[in-house]
Amino acid sequence: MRLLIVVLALLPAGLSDEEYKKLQPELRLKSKGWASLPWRATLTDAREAAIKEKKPIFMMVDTGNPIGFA
Amino acid sequence: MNDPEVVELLKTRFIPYALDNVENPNLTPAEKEFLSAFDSGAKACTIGMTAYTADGRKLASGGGYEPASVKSLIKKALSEFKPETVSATVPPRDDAAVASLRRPPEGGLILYVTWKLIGEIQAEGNATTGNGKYDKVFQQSLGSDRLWVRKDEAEVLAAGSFPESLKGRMMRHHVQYVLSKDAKSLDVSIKGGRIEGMVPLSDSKRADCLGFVEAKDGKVTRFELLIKGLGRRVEDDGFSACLSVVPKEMPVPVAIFFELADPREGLARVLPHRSRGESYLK
Repeated sequence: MRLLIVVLALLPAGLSDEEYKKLQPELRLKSKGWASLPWRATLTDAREAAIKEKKPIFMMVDTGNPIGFA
Repeated sequence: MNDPEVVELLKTRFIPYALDNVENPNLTPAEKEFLSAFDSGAKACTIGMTAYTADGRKLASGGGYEPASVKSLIKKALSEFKPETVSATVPPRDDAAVASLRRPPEGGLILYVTWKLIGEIQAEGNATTGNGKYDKVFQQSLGSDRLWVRKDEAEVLAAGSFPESLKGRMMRHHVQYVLSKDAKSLDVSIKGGRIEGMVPLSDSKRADCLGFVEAKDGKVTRFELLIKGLGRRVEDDGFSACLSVVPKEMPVPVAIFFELADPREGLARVLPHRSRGESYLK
């Protein structure tokens, strides 16, 4: 364990501000178009909005994280 | 889904809704009954897309990883949709049942969580990625989820400290998912609004962390944390996005990003995939 700590301490310093500025925009969800969609929190909310706005419901449905792939 | 025409059509002509129908369904009994009463697509598997009317008539289903298939679904749905034939009423809202659904903790925060590969790799797909057909799409994709932060944790963050319970939730549900169980702990601290530290990995390796926290009047107004390290292949029917095509047994550079969401945004209201289970917020 002591050796591990020494090795880690000798590794080059971590993430630089420059690298952060480069990576951050690529990881921001707000840069993705679909993230701006007005997703509804519940099916009841979606149905009420669909009636009010005279629109169909578009449902992403999965057996797991339904919008995990952007 | 990021094709500008697809985004515009979904934004202006549809009511978008996302459902995890198996692992994390957050439906009232009446909602379950509604979805099972017609071919709603609620039994779909990976990347299922379906369009239907508010009174329960399917318009189109299908979709996929490329814009053309999503556009095809959208166009079919719009051509089938006749608003004048949709029942103008929905059953009385069961407020008690809707209120019982899981929702973000009162006074807490919602964080967006994303992950991506850094640089090029020799993608290694599988049946989920079309055995090579969609490897490039997966490789360039951004993984996405959300994370809930309790009110007491938000207060600690606003005061300039990083709550251990939040570190644990980030590790269990996101950092270890992307970096694998080799990730031991989130060793970060806040100093002068900067989050710095690392995640020790096996073989004396580590992932580096950098982020920022700002607060005003006791409320967190900015939270960002970026972690850069080595990620591994995750095969879970495509939900891991870019991690689906990482070559087996070959860690590659990845980045994970946590960012404060505006709770008024639609996407922020979608349940975190990992929020299932009683222990999530502990």
